[in-house]
Amino acid sequence: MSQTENKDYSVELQLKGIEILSQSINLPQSNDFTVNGFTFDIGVEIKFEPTNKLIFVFVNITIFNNEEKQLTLGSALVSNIFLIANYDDIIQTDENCKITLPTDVIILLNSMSLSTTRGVLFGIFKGTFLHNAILPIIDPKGINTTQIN
Amino acid sequence: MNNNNKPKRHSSPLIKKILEEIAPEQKQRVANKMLLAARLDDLMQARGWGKSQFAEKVGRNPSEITKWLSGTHNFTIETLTDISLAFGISLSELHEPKEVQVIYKTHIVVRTEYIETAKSVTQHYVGDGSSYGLNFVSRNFYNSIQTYQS
Repeated sequence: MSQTENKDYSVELQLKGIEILSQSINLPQSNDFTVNGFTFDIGVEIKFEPTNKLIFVFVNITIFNNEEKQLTLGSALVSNIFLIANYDDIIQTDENCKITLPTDVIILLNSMSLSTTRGVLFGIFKGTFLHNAILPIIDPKGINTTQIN
Repeated sequence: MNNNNKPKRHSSPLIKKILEEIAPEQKQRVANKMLLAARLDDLMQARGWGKSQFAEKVGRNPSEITKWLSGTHNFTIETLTDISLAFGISLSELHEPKEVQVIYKTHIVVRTEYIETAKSVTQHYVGDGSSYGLNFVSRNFYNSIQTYQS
């Protein structure tokens, strides 16, 4: 008989570090270049480093001028490093040493990393023509949380 | 006065001869002992443990830990098991750290649009004089955010 258990838990997360791994700004040379808005191409990748029990959330953002992604205006790759204090309660490891995180934790990590990256982007692009390219608020619950098998 | 304190690589026929006399398996044994010592040091640092704290965890004397970290100790399987239990890792992980695992990957596209008519980024905003000579490149307001996901 299988039983599904609704386990209540609290996540004790600590933001250990923020690293800007790469950044770029590309001002188009054309004089008739206009900005009607920005398209943000966002890649989020979560990696687990078992030795130090650290979680790295890499947020890779590329900003384009339009939906067709014709011109790359800027980009940044930010690493958000988290430590889960109650690691044993949160992280599940199967017999093949495959690590699984609860969906709620994925949502939490995505939310915090995107917010942190928003601040980092503002710092990078402040005073440039991308000053107003502020990463919009994204509902973290709307982001796909399927983990890699 | 010579202030160059950089170490110099010294080579002599005698040292070369001695090194050649060491059997490859002996070299490998020494290398493994050194690697294990370095790994223990890394694991201690990752947990913020000092020698005395680690000694307490494995029920040994701190001086014994000093010897372990020197890379000269010949560990028994019993000692290695005690160490792996103290660190909460498997015996194999003690020698070879686990690789970083990618748990999750996603891709999102978000679009922000202006509410006002777009202005050229090269065209300066002409104000009414109240801006004290400041030129504004554009005034930006966003009215819609679209999210796409793959």
